[in-house]
Amino acid sequence: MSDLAAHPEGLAPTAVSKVWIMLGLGVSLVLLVLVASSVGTSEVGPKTVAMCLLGLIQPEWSPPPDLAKVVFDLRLPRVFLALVAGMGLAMSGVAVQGVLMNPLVSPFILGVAPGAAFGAALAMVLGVDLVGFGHYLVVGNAFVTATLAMFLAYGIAQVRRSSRETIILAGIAVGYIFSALVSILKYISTVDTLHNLVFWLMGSLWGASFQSVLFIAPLLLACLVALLWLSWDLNIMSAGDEVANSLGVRVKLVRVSVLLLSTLTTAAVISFTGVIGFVGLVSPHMARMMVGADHRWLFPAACLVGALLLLGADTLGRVVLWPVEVPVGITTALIGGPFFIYLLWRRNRDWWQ
Amino acid sequence: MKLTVRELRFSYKANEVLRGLNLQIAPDSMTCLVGPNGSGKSTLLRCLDRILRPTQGTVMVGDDDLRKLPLKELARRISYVPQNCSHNFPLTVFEVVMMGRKPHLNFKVRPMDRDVVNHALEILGLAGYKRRYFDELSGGEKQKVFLARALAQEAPIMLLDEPTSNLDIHFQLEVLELLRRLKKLKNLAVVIAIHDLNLAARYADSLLMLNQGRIIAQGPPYQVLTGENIERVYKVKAQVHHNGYGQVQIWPLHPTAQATGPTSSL
Repeated sequence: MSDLAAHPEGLAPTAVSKVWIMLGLGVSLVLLVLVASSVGTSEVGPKTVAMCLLGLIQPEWSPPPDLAKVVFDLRLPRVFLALVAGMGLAMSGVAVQGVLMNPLVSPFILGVAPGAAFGAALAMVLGVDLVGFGHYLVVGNAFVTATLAMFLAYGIAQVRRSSRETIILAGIAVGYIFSALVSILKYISTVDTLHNLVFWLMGSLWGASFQSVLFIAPLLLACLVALLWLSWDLNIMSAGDEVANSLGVRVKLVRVSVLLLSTLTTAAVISFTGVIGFVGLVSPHMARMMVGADHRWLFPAACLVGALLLLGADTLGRVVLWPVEVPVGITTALIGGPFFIYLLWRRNRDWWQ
Repeated sequence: MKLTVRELRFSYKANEVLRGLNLQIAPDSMTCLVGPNGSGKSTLLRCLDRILRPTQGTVMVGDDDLRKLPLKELARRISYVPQNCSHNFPLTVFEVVMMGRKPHLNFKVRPMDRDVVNHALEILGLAGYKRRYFDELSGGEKQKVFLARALAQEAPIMLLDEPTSNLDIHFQLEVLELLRRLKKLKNLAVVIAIHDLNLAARYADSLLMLNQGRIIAQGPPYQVLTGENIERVYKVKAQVHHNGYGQVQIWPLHPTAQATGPTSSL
């Protein structure tokens, strides 16, 4: 962050300083991964984790199997889920803000959060299984209803001409409907299921497994590649539809595909983690303050920031009230909020209009 | 590249805005569209760049029908500078001008694209502005950035909607001088919608006077900007001074009647 102050007044960072910022973020993330996989309730420390990782190359360096099990079955899946979830939410945030030309929207804009919540609540309260995923009952349901909410919101906006504002409003409306349905289910649920549901709604990473990472990661990667490919179009679309059109951008096509791709990634993430807000709204802004608004830099930078934020928050949530765990949905807002306010104070210019 | 318009009509729902226009725009020429508010100047420009789809008639861009050109190819042939344009998220001047290269590139910015952008910035005297944030510039500087972007697009036809409307007299003259230079330098066909008749008279090679979606007069400024035409179209009594070198100057005196707006005329 110290690079921010180094820029001469009113001048944007050069490509070289952007590379340095990205490197800094990358190195911090690697360090944080090591820290995050070293802290926790059992006495598996940094040394064991290092041994585990080295053991992948040189089997004789591996730690005892019971310690390795803690690292591979508990710590690392959670760390990696935090990484892909943080990246997915931040990336979607950048995409959605760019394509709707609105700095206030988050990747939940198409009603996916209440949508996912409804699916999860159906599974928890009524035991309804929408897809027959068995073990992944809640996840499967959440993903299905989140996707449903997304298509519903977009479809409603599409009936009339789909201006940016219509899309946002349709998303809000669909979100309210699903929220009401969730409230009904909360109302009729027992105390125990209500507790579970509320916990899920806060968002947490404790149910992490490598399967969840393997489900999200390909989607995230495909989406990121597509978005990077479209980053010029997104830059240009910030000038409005007419200009974009006259510069050869297929505005409608780009808007639909970016919106649906990124919302789908978000749906996949929150189906596993519950509704983790804030990361998707705020990481894009943080990244913008560091590398500027050019989407070619903004996407990777936001991914790193999102991963840092979510993993940092989750790690802190695991240790701060030890042995009680604070759900990551709470810690992200508690850490991210003040940090974001700090950035708002420190910035020397407006980063959105 | 030549732009040929035949029997162009355009309607917003029941409201016919363009009523059968015929015109031709040649390379290395500056054509100014003049006419009262709602006469169809902006609509014509938008139809020429396919931002709006004409209801009838044809537009030929070079030898090709506008309707059949792929979007990217169209962007390589026609650049468009809108009247108001802002960016929601702050980009640098360099990034904004680089957008003009979009029709020529996908993701990777080639050295050649950088050269074109740098060249465009240099021509417009913006070389020192590259890393400045676009939203911190003054109105006149912004307009020059848009010209640079259109220039970086390397399209032989350039359309501009009121490029001088929010500028002080310095930038008004500077922008139009630049356009005149670019026209010569790059052999551009420049079409400008403009309200200021004196600026139009001074810089245009030919004028096109529109009223209620029809062409009232076209030709060199001294032929189009006559007292009768101005009174008929603008409902304004005006004195027209000829300087003897084919140039005219307008001195508006007073309105003659209630101006008819676009809706009341229908």
